[in-house]
Parts: sequence; C-alpha cells; structure tokens
Amino acid sequence: MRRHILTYLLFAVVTFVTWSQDTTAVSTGRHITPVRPSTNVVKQPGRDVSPELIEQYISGDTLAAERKAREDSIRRSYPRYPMMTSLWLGVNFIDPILMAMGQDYASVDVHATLNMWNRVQPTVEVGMGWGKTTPEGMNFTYRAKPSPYVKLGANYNFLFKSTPDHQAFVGLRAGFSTFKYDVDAHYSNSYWQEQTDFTLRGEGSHAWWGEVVAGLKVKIARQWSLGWTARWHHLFSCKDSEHSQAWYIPGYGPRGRALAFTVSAYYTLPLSLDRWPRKDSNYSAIR
Amino acid sequence: MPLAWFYGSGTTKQVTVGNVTVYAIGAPGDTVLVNNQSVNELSLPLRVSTDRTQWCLTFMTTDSLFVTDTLTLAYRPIEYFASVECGAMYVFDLQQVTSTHNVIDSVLVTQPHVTNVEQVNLRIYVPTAQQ
Repeated sequence: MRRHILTYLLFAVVTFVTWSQDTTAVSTGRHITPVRPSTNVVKQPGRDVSPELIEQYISGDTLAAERKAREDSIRRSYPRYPMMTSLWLGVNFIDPILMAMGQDYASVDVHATLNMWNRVQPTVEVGMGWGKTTPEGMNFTYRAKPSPYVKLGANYNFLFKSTPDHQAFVGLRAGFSTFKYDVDAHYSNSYWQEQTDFTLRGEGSHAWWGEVVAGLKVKIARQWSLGWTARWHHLFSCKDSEHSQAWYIPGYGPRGRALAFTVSAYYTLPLSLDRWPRKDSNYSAIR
Repeated sequence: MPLAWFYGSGTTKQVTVGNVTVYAIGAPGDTVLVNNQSVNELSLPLRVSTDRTQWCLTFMTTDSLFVTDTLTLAYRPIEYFASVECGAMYVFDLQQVTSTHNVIDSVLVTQPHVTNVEQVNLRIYVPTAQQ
C-alpha cells in the first residue's frame, strides 16, 4: 500500500515538472506577429514608367533601376528636339541703312545656322564690306573697295527648353577678310613751303579676328524671324604695308573699334519635323 | 621729321647747348629753325621733293667765337597713310648722315626709320665745357 502511494507521488512530481518547463518556453521565445491587412498595399508603377524599369525592380537590381529612373525623370523634364532641328537662313541688313544715315562704312552678309537639338548652333556668315571717308580738317580721302569676308562659329541657345521660335544665345566667331583700298592725300610743309598731292592706289591687306556674340531671335510670322546680335571683337592680325595701315576691315569695322551691332532677318526651315516633341506630351517640369 | 638729341662727347647724358642757331641750306626765305637759343634737341623737317637735306648748326664757343658745322642727311621719302586720326604724310628712311667736325664730335643714327611717332633718330655728340 505504501509502495503504491510513493509511486503515485513520484509520477505526479515528474508530470508537474515537465508541464511547468513547457509553459516557460512559450512565454519567453516564441512570438507570432499578427497579420494586418491594411499594410499590405501593392504600389502601382508611376506614370510613363517603362516596362524595362519595372523588370529591373522586379529582378532586384535596385541601383540600376534607380539610375534609370533618374535618367527617365530628367528626360521627361523638358522637350528634347532632334539633332537636326531646323536651318535658318539670314541676312544682316542694318549697315546699309546706317550708311544712308551718315555712317562711313557698311557691310552686308548672309548667314546659315544649323539648329542642333535646339541647343548648339554652328553658323557661317559670308558678306561684303565697303567704305569711304574724308574726315573734316584732314588731308585725305580713304576709299575701301567692296571686299569679302567670312566668319565661322557657333551659338549656344539658353532657351533650349522652349520652342525654337525664340532664341537667346551667346556664341563665338572667327573672321577673315582680304581687302583693298585707295588713299588720295594732299601734303604740305610750312618750313619748306612744299605742297604736293599723292595717291596710294590698290593697297592690299588681310586680317583675321575673333568675336564673342550675344543676341536674340524672335519669330515674327510663320517662318520669318528678326534678331539682333551684339559683337565684341578682337583683331588678331592685320597686315600693314610700307605705305599704309588699313582703316576699315570688312566684317570687322573700323580698326580699333571693339564693339559692333547687327540686325538680321531670318527664314527658318524646320528639319525632322516628325521627331519634334508633340505639344500634348506630358512633361512634368516644363515652365 | 627726325628728332636729334645733343649728348656730351663720350657720355650717354643728354646736354643742353647754349647759343645755337640752326637753319636749312636752301630753305625758302632763309628760314631759321633755332635762333641763338639754348636747346637740348632739334626737330629737323626734311624736304620731300629731294633725297638730301643739309642743316647748318652755328655754335658759340667758350671764347665767344661762332663756329658752324654742316649736318647732311641722305634719305628716301615714303608716302604714307597712318590712320584716320593722324592722316597722310611722308615718312623717311635715313640712309646716310654725315657732318663736319668743327664743333660736332660725331653723329650716331639710333633709329633710321623716321615716322610721326616721337622717337630719337640722331645723337649729336659735342664736347662740353668740362671736357
């Protein structure tokens, strides 16, 4: 009898100890986070996100996906024009008007500008310049014969985010001219009481110079535009002869004058019109 | 016109020469350029219708004697247009400069091309009182 009671007691103790260990393990190590349905939102891809970008995110290449997303964002911030956006043909006409109003010299030139990406615009100018002056109180008449000049350069359009109809640009030019002139002079010397006339005929020279330009071009109607250009120029070289130094350089102006101003009329030929950005395109940062 | 400075003989110092009279041989009306004055430089106008001009320089010595030297310039006159501001003129290439030596020690051509730019073309060396 006594043996049975001890056996039952031993069994009860063992059972109690085992049960208490199980309870402690549950209270200290195992937690279950309940699932809240409101946090499980599936985000939709943004507007105009390319399928390639979605694939990159799905594939796990997050860095490449973020880089591509940044590039796509910049590309969508303003309209991109094709490399051959348009071609302008222009004529500078202001000098003959000023010559009719009393200026001693004039030049007329035609120029062609290729508008690339509505941003970079290489240009070529070809023209003729001439002049005549008999300064009051001086002893000579200077005749600059009609002579050619050429300028090569490029502009940068600051309004590349806007329509090509309006341009605000700065640019550089390199100019060259070869020209001839005559000088009729009267010389007198009071000590020797000498008076003599002489003529320097067919004096020839050539010059080249650099220009920094800034200007505006505005559409007037249809494909016609008007614009002005301010030019600061520096003479690199001008050949002098034994008998003279040139006064007027075609395309440059009077020697020693650093600033010039031109007004031009333009005709625009659109190129690659089918690749111009559409007016209804969805751009996020256009102003 | 050529510009000539007076220098002390054997020195590089410009000197002032007193009681000098200068005139060109053949000038209309015997026009005197400098009349018994103290000068340290001379501007000598050249005749353009010929290639040679002679100048007479009369000095008063320490003994109060008047002694004359003749300065002869041979040159090539060149018709020239300088600029709208300066106009048309003649410039000259000095080819030979000689003088007598009654007072003048020697003459040196420092710049043979004579233009409208002010620059010393000749140095006339004369003995000074200290020498």
